[in-house]
Amino acid sequence: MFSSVLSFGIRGIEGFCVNVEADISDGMPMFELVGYLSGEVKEARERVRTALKNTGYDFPVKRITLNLSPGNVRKQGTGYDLPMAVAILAAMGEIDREKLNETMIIGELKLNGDVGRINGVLPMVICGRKTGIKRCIVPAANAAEGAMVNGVEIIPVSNLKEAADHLKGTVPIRPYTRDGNAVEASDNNAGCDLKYVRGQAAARRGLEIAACGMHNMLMVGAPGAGKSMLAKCIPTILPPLSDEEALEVSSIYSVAGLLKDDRNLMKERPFVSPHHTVTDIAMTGGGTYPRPGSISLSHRGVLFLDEMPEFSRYTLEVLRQPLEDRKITIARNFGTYVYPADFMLVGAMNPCPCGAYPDLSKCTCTEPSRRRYLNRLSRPLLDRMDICVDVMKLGYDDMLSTEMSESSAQVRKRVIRTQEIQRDRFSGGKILFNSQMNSDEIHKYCALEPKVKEWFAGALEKLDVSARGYSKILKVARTIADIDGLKAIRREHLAEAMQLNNSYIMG
Amino acid sequence: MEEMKYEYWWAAMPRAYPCRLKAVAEEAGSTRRLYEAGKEELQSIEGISESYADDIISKRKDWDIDREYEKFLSMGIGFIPWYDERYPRRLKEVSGHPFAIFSIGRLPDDDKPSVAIVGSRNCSEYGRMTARNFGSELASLGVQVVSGMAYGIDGLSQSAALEAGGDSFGVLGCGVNICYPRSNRKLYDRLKEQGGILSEYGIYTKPQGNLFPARNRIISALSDVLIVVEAREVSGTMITVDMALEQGREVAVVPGRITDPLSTGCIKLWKQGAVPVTCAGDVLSLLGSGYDGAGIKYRLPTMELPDDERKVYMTLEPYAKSVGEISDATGMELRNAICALVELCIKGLAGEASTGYYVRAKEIRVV
Repeated sequence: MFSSVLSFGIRGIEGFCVNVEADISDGMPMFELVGYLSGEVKEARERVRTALKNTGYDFPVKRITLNLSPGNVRKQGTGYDLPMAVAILAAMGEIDREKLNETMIIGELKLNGDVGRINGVLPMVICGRKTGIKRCIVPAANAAEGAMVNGVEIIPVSNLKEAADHLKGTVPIRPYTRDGNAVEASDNNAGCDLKYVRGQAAARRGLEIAACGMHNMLMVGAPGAGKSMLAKCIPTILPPLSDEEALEVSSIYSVAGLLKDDRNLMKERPFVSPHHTVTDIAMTGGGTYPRPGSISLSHRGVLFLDEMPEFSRYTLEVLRQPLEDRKITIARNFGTYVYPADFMLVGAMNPCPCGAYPDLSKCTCTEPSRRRYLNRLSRPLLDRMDICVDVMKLGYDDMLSTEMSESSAQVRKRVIRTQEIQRDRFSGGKILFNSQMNSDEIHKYCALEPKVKEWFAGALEKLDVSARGYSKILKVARTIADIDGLKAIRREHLAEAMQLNNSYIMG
Repeated sequence: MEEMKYEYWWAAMPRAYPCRLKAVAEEAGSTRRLYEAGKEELQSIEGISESYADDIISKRKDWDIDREYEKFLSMGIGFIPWYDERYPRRLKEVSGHPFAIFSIGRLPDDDKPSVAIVGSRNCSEYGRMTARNFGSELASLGVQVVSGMAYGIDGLSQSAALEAGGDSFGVLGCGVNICYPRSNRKLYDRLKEQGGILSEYGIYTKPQGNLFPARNRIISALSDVLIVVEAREVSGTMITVDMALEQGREVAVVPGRITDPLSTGCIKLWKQGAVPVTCAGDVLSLLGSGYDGAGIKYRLPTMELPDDERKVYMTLEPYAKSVGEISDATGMELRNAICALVELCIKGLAGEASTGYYVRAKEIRVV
């Protein structure tokens, strides 16, 4: 007899529909799996047979064929175990095939019949909803994650028997609802708030401007000056994720198996800080079986590279293309995977190898060693960083001061307002922020009044600013004018943007 | 002319002890004899030990004397042996002067005053500013500026002298056709055009640490006054100073802060009797009656500045200050301080020392 069960796989960070078809017919007893399967899917044969036996079913001594269609897409992961078992039960006639309509099934089986958690449930359920699925049988451990998607009934099962009994109608399971189980979203940036940052007026200002226009930023300062702490505060001043963004970001984390709080969508923007020994593959994503890398895990958030010159040159250079395209495309012989990678790049570095420059009574570096250190960051990469700020070592009076600085929440209000101005400006276009403007858009939105233009031209010539530097200054000046709520870019906006330009490091 | 190729061989062959080349050549009578003599004959010449003789023999073996000389001639590089009338007078005066000088561009003018400006390669912004100021002011007063084209004080004073339209000469510790340090390429090219590059080492000689102290004796010899801008107590600059004193040159120092490690050398020299100088006028009076400084008054250029910029300019020092410190010191709002600062940079009065750190780049009298 023939049966078919709907299940889902993951490709990139999106789900795709897989039909698990089972056929039981007379003939030599055998159990065949087909459908372009990777190793772990082929191993399902043993898991399914043993789980069925240990759940109390007699494994049919017949010719069993399982096919995962479409047959031209590589299937990976252990999520097909449960649908295979259910398909066999349906083909055996144990389960009414009508019950399988508009129902998707995912889950890994253990030998005793228990159902274990899998990665990527969220994007699978999202995809299921799009294809018209009404019910979704998921491992109990993934129930909360699946329930983040509205409009689909989530049936949590902890073993094969529960799933079978539910489908037979003997012991129906109540759909999982978030209401009874909802908890407060945990704050993954707990303890980070600009109000704890003492002094650092210049760095705070730079941080705010960067956040407003989503400008990439480089922080330069002595070890222990507080660069990492400032960087960690960036998600607290960026607007919280919108519902759509939250679903997108949570999907990426679900695929990577990194969803920490599986009862809630991620609300705060991600902050990813890979160690400087990270490989280029871990940075971009990939591997034989592609997984999202650091740049995708920081999608819609912040990618923070501490000790930036210590990263291997190659690892840094691979950032250049995703910084332009805001996504990364990885080609493997099973197909091409696209991961989103729209992040704000924040780098931190010392001013020189010892960290004391420009205090020459402490700095032990020579001029050439200092240059060599700065030169580890390539020009093309520095060209993509609009803002460069100095993070000062704190004076004792700042350390001892008990005065609280302006809090993240207050700064966030200004950031939200400034980003709204940009959204209105670019509505209908492809971009959202000033930092993403191309030369046409710069020309259109950063027009200068004749007097200001004249001053700017003179300044550029005197300070020997390159063409790249010119557009960076204009983009940042646009953001500063937006913070002030002004249509026209004024001289003081340009001056401040010029100060934030990383001209010193560019040498 | 025929003899010249032997002279060239003797000067250009890679070898230690450059100070002894001339003495040995004189002792031998001719460089041709040195080229042709056997080991025993070489050893009979005073000043040639056995190992020195071996060294001469081993090195002349791979030296095709005709081809090497032809190759050299085709490069258009000057070769001035010690008896040549073009050989700088100041250099000939000192003992242990080079057997010959290789040059690109001009040679220092014997009739014009000449100063050497030397100091730390790893200098502070204060040193940078003073080196530039001394270089450009002295050059515009017609004084030749000699130095070693190194990073820091040396190169900066020479660049400033050239920018002021004056004469400058770089003495290298490598072949004249090699630009060292490489990052001073711009200065090297400009010196070739507007001044001169000198060395006593053969072409293609690579820069080596042991060649530099001997080079320093040429720098000091070519100057009337040696100005030390910033130097640590133990440094290459102090070797130059020792050489200058041996050669009877006047040594002047630029005072710095007593707590600054970069000033320890200058202050020690000052205590030992070096003359402190604070402006080009001071140096002129040291240069003696021929170039009396009495008539020249050193005056700061004056400039009118708006209120904000004046406040910020007054706060700036030759020591780097961060924008935060500047805004605190002036009591101005950060944004306004930054604006004024950028205006000052555009006017060339302030400069960025490191990311977010600024210094005074030029001294002016604000009105």
